[in-house]
Amino acid sequence: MRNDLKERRAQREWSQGVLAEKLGVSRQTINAIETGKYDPSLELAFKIARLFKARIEDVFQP
Amino acid sequence: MNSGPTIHFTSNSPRRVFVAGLTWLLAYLAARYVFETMAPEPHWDIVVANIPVIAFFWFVWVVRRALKDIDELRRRIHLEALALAFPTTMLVLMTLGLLDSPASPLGLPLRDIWVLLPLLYVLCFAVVNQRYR
Repeated sequence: MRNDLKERRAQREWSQGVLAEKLGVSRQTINAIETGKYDPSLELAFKIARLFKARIEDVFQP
Repeated sequence: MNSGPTIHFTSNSPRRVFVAGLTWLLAYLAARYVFETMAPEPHWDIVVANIPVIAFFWFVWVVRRALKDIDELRRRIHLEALALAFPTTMLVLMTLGLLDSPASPLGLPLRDIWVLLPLLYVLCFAVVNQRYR
């Protein structure tokens, strides 16, 4: 699954660590999602979309 | 959907798991020491043999609590490590069974073969963890 998490994070000038803290996950998780190594759970995907005030399908594309 | 509480990552969970695991190991070694030096009477031998079981249940309880503290990727890594370590362990034991020999790959006596299991798990964890780096 593709995503534009890295771009959205960069727009807000957040580091991976900052985003991880906002989402309550580890920095390794953010890195793995951004590099496409890991697809987040639906719950985490919703949290990410909500944080960026976007629809889940705008952030994640199959 | 409930967003759930924010997870705070602390170094306490791994330390607690380590302490619980060490306690379990020490309980086992203590029971073994009793068997080797004191030769407990019948009935008492069952009591002594079950001392590590109590430590084991505490260890499992600590691990379950630690699993709730970690985030979903780390949980996934542990699951994949188990999925790798379990069949690997089976393979090692099956191979030893086929050889029908008390000699093990590391030169361990048969009663110490269990040492391979946590070692294989740690190895598999390191391999899987590397994949998500």
